[in-house]
Amino acid sequence: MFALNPNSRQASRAAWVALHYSNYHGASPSGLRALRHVMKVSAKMIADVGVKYYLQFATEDYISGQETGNCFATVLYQKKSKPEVNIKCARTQDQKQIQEEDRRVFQYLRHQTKPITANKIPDSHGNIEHALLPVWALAVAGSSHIMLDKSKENVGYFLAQIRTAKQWIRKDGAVEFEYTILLHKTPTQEMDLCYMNVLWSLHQVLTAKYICASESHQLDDGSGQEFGSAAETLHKKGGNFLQGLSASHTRSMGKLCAQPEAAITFPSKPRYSKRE
Amino acid sequence: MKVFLVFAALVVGTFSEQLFVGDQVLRVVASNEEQIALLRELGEQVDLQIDFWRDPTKPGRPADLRVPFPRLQAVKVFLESNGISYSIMIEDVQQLLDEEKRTMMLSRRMERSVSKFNFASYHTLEEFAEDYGHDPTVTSLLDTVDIFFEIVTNPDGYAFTHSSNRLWRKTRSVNAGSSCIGVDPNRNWDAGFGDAGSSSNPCSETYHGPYAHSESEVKSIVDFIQSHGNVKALISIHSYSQMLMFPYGYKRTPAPNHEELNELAKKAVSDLAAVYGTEYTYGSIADTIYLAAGTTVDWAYENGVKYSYTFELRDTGRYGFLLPSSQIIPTATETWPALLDILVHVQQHPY
Repeated sequence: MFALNPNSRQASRAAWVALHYSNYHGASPSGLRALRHVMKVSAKMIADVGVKYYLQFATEDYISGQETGNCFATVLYQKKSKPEVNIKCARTQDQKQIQEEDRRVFQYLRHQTKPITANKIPDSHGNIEHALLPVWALAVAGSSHIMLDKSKENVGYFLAQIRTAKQWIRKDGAVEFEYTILLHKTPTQEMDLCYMNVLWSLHQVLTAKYICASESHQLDDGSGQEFGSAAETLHKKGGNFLQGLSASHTRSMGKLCAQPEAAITFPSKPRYSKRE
Repeated sequence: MKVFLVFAALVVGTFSEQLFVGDQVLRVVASNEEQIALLRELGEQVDLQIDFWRDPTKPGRPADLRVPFPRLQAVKVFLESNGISYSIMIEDVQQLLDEEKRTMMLSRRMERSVSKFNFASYHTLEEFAEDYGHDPTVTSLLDTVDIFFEIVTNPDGYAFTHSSNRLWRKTRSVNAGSSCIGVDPNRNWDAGFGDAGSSSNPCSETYHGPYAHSESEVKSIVDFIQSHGNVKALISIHSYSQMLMFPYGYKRTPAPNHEELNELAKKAVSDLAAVYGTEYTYGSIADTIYLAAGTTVDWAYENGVKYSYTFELRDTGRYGFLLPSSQIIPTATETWPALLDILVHVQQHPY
């Protein structure tokens, strides 16, 4: 077990990982927390497993910035899976008030007759319309799931911007939003583009499903392009997948076509072959 | 069967061409009940591992399915051969961004306005201008040292953030042999150039460039400092993270003046916090943020500028790069005492 400098990036990153966990599993867009500062941190290597951080940190309300008390957490970074988190926070806010706020927001979103759509939250000047704060909060909660999945001891994320938000009106009374978001990644500074579907149901369960553009990129050779540079050199959309190959991709093609799993395995049910 | 195999080979070939090599979310629109039934059956096949994000309910309504990469060909062939139309979510999103870029370029007929400029720096300038002759510290400072402000060190990059991509980071230089543009100007300096903490990939946001000082934005500052010959301090201002840092970034070894630089940073950060309570962390770049090679302050430090500091201004990630404009003046106001601490220390410790 060794004590770490609470000023260090490792410390704040670990604290944020714990908050991503709490912000997602709390399923409460009105109860989101952000990190104020780390007070104490130490770490322990666990042979064959990973590194476990022990943290005490101060938090504030994600939306308003008001102080929300201290949290104690452990974050276990593992080699092959997402970080394992245990977190306990002091309750300085009135829980009833938060629940009431959640209910109010839920009803507001649920009773929209026209689905809410928005672009760029925050906008280019960092502003968020008051009416869109719940849309932002929901995205913060949902994207916490993505950021928790992707975080590593030396890789951290923040939600940089919601590019698009679109509400889907549901008959079952749940609130559903479809987002495209940009996640700012440190230390690489890349912007990861992700598509996310957030479902918030009556009994305060919040689930996010996502797919990110850079998923499955284990290659470090530049065959992946990030949002910043990629916006310049976009490839034509593929809905019809029969398109010409471009020379710039012959290198990546070689690697990808070598995938053993890419062989066609066609469903064997007789019903399908009828249509051939 | 042969026809099918050829088809499959073509399909494999074209998939390799796609930008995103992984699982995909397909938005599928069934046009009749028969197709709905087919989609449901598709979902029931366990080996395909399809995850419905939005179930197929009725014709005309989109269903979203997430398909793992190894199953993509099979699913797409199935949809195509059954005449079920679909699109690929992430690629659609890319198109959205592309369209947006086009609209922005079309609508860029705005008058150049003051609101486009870096208000925070103007605030600092104002402080100096107003306090001179009134405040003894500032007066003494300006009587003994010259202060040069370079408000925007990457002008075309800055322009690009307002015309096209608000989150553009790098310079706008063309990279030979690559379709990706730009070099990270804070990795292009000749201090540990090319080491860990920078990238050799032109498409990366921390691409260090083909060689040190390849970027005119960097070279011009290098030339200025070297020809001036008497620069005693350099302060490089960035966002975000709320940090005050000093060399080194390219190695973990403490700089020879670590103690002094650290103490000064500690004082500056404390005086900053006294204004509105904004908390900064401080330390060497390598300790505080990460290993970063080829940075401005490392080069300056190794070229005779002892007091080389980097500020990462507000905030710590909530708004990040998109800080509300309402925070510009408060940011400048709180940073002012920290800047003053550094400048006064430099004035009092000539070398």
